[in-house]
Amino acid sequence: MDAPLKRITIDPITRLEGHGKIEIFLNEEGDVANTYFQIPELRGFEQFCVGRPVEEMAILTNRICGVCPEAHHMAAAKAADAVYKVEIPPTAKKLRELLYSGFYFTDHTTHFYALAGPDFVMGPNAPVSERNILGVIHKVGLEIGGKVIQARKNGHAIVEMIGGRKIHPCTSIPGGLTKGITEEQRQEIEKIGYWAVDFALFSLQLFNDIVLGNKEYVDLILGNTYLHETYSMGMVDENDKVNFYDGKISIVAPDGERIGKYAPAEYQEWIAERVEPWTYLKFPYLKKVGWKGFVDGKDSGVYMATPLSRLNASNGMTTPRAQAEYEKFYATLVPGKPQVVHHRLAIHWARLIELLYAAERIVELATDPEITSPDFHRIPTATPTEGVGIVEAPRGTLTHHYWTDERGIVTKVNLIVGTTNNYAPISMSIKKAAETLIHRGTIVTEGMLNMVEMAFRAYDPCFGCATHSLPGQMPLEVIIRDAEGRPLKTLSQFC
Amino acid sequence: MIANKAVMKTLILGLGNPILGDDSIGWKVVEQVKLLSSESLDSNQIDGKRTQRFLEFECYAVGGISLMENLIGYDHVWIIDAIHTDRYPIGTLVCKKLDDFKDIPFGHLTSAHDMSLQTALELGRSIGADLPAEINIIGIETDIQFEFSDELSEPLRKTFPKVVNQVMHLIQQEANNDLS
Repeated sequence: MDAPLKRITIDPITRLEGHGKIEIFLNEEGDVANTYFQIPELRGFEQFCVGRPVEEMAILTNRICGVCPEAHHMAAAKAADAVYKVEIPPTAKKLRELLYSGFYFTDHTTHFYALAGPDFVMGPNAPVSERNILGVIHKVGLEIGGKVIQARKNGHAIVEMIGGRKIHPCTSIPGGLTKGITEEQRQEIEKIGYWAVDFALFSLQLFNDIVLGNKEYVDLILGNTYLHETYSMGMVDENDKVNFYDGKISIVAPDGERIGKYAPAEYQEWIAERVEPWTYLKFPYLKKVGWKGFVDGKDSGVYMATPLSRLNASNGMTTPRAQAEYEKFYATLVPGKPQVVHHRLAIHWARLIELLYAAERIVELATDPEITSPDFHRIPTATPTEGVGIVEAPRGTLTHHYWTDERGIVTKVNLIVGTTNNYAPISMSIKKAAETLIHRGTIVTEGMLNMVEMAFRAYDPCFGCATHSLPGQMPLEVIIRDAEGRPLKTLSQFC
Repeated sequence: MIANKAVMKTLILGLGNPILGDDSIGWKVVEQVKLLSSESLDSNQIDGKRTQRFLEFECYAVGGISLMENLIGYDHVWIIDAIHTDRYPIGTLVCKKLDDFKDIPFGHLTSAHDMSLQTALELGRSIGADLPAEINIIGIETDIQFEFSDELSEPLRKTFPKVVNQVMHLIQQEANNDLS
């Protein structure tokens, strides 16, 4: 007979995240027996799309999520291009990538300063009332807050100039865009780009000083608690360099061997989805490797799709400063070894390298002679059928696949959203952190709970699409139950 | 009462996901209120000076820091949003000040990507952003099912005209109080 279990529940009740819940089951001895990370599914999106013109998808899908509408807008636009078999003009491609770089700059800034930063600047065990961006400001200086807000404002300005709206862009259509940019706008974006490069370098220096300069944090990053050896996925250009907007998807094994690259239309040959009885969400895995359960290693098809995996799956960055940081990253973490890092907290560092890359791309694209060309749209002439569009969302590879009838009316939709790629590794990371931190006789503390949260916060997960949270809801609760399920103690995040 | 200014800007803000069924009630109410309201709600005499109050209407599907950024420059904000408490009949309005809500998510997960609105407002004010001193929340009781649809459920659809009227009344009443 199995030993009775005790249960700890971490319950982030929030509409933005779709009521996610972590349950940690303890055995009779008080050690972790298993963990479950559950996310309720938002239902009916495919049916909602069927019967609509495919050109509406870029507007419609960016309403799925309030966190990364730009990513859905881009993937949908690329899928619609593919449905109509239209090659968009170079200027349109550059404008879309410029918009996307502005979005990346905003998104990565927010994650580092609002979410990752407090763990490191304030420390994982700092009082909960201080472990937030306000704590960071108090510790590092008021000017940090101003810079973060300015960074977001600048990124939004780029999105608005090209995308027509600052939150939910609407200008990408099959064949390109509905509008270009003026010379005045180009100059403004170029100016923003230089500011963004300085800000990204400042952020990397901050990470260097506060995190890499602290042995305790370096030990935390390089320790076993947050280590998993899985496959890495990321989009690369024709030279195998990181690209967020266009290219093939590169897959690298845990030992650094590149096992292949696939074009968007080939994704079904590479990705399969595993169903587990305890969750509505499916677990994508590498079809050619196979599903072996929630385990590490080259024989397990589990992969991650994060800033870290994008660096692992590439040969570097196309921009000079980001390339220098890329080289420093691997020289520091895996000196003399294949360029593949598995320490999940290193995702934060990789994210900052991507921040710098995005900033440099803003400058590169804003100074491209073609960027103000009026040739930003090509009228599709082919009969629409089926198409796949893929971009790298900040939190993972985003795939949109549409089928239409001959009029371009959607008949079927399949999406693999960024974080879904990471559902298996996030679940594994939560379990490992819990196993490492919670043992028989352990009193579960606030700091310990935060360190379990850190296991999935590194991935920047986004499972929900309800897009906002009315204030006043309880975001997190831990219930420790005895073997009969009776609550022994409740830990919640009330101040 | 809001400070005496020549021009006061009020934002009527619908929050929610417009394609997630009853979660879109805030959007739909604000769109209707906008149709029924004039751009300049009224003008009033305060201490012998003429104060003009401008209403602006927006609908967003954002929270936390993004929401805060969109409140900059307004004197007064009304947020109209769906709630699901199981304590009231569908369509019931629950009115509160933002300050009435406990800032629970301090340091944790309002979202894995964001911060609470209260934290975001404190961040904004700490760097001198011109943010409203007061934010009113009108929650509308729903039975959110998290199923994609651009239509309201039947029970909420039936109460919709009444909800719109009540929201308009509340806003007008508050405006009169502010300027009296």
